[in-house]
Amino acid sequence: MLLLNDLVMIEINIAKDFSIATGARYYSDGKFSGEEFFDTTLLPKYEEAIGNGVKLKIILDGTDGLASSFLNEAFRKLGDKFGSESAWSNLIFVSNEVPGYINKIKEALGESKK
Amino acid sequence: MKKLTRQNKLHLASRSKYQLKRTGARKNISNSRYFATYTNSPLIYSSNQKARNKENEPITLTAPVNFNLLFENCVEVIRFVNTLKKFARSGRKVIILDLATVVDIREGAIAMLLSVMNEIGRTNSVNITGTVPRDASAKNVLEKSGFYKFVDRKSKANLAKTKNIMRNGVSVTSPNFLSQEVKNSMETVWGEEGRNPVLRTVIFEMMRNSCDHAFSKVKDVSWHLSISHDEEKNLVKFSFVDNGAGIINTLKANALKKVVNLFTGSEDMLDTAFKNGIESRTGLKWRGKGLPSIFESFSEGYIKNLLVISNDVLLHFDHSKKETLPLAYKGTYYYWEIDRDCKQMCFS
Repeated sequence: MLLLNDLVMIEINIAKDFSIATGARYYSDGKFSGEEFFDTTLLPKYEEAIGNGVKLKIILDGTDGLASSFLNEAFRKLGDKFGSESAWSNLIFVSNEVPGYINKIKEALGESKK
Repeated sequence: MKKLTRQNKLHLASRSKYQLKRTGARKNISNSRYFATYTNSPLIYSSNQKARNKENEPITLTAPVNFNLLFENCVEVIRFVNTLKKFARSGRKVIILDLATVVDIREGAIAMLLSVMNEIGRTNSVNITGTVPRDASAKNVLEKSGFYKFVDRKSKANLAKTKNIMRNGVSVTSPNFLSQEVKNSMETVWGEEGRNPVLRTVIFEMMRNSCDHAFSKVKDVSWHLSISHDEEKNLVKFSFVDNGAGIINTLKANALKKVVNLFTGSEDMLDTAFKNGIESRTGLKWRGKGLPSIFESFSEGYIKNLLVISNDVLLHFDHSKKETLPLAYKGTYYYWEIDRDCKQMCFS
């Protein structure tokens, strides 16, 4: 049975909405860094989801690979801004290709300041 | 007419490639074809240069017979590349790499040699030339590796017949080629092109790590990646090498400076860094996830035969080998393989 939340869920497909070939941690590391992903995609979509009272679904499949520094920077910053527990509870992940990415994101949120 | 002294003769001999060949030929490297010069300074023999400079005399450096980085041979290869660096730093202008007697040469050692030659070329006025192996098999491996693309731009070495590549880079910022090379590798192993996010991440983490840790100045960032395909065995061999400070030196100089005594030795420190134990062992907040990510790919079976040499430590994870070497390589070297024994990951 579909819930209302499922129908209006906000979604990020990293491969389609950001880049198939993502980069490293900072802007200074080059294109499609974790920092850039946070600023241009993750933060606006997260705020949109929170504003609409729905969860943010993030599809991690379909990329050429997500470096630990990319995931760490993007989600640590999200945790810094909104609190790690709050951020975690508002996110839904799809990662069938490399399930280990979800643990890395959880670790990154755990490293955040809040 | 004034008779030439020995030093005058040596100087004159070093002035032309032809004479250089003859000089080399007298030094037990006869019957060998030379690969052409690798130089950043074609004008090093200017007419007003002092003839008696010892630095202008060609010096020959003989490569080990087994020019590979297997545990039993790696010390001799490291000694060889360290000596090459030493000669260049001492101001030698012409260095002859004698590879004629090499019988077993492998891509990892070739990548390490190229990395050192590249480093030397950036910081010294030096002309490196040399001989190719007499052994047909070794010669073939060297040709197929892409070595001549770097040392001899006029070489007719035919790489079109192979998917093998040898790439170098100066930063992690534009590894655009990487995704396609990963797909090519999957074609060799699984018979079809496809994405392998784990493999691409392994290489990317190595590049990232070399930039993060190995160099103090961004302009010094440099790495070499070698990918060698064996279609018959559905096997791909990878070598990645940077010539920075090395992981151990960097850890000791920075983050782990005050907690070195918590490790039984350098090999323990490096092993712990790969196995994600730095934080639990030292209590330090540890953001370096690159090395654990590489190790995870091995422990989960996506890659195999993972070997790391950094400074004076060798780790061979397949054999649970942790060794301190009698001499150090200033940099980091990785070797690993993928074949059909590995866990399949190939997404269309």
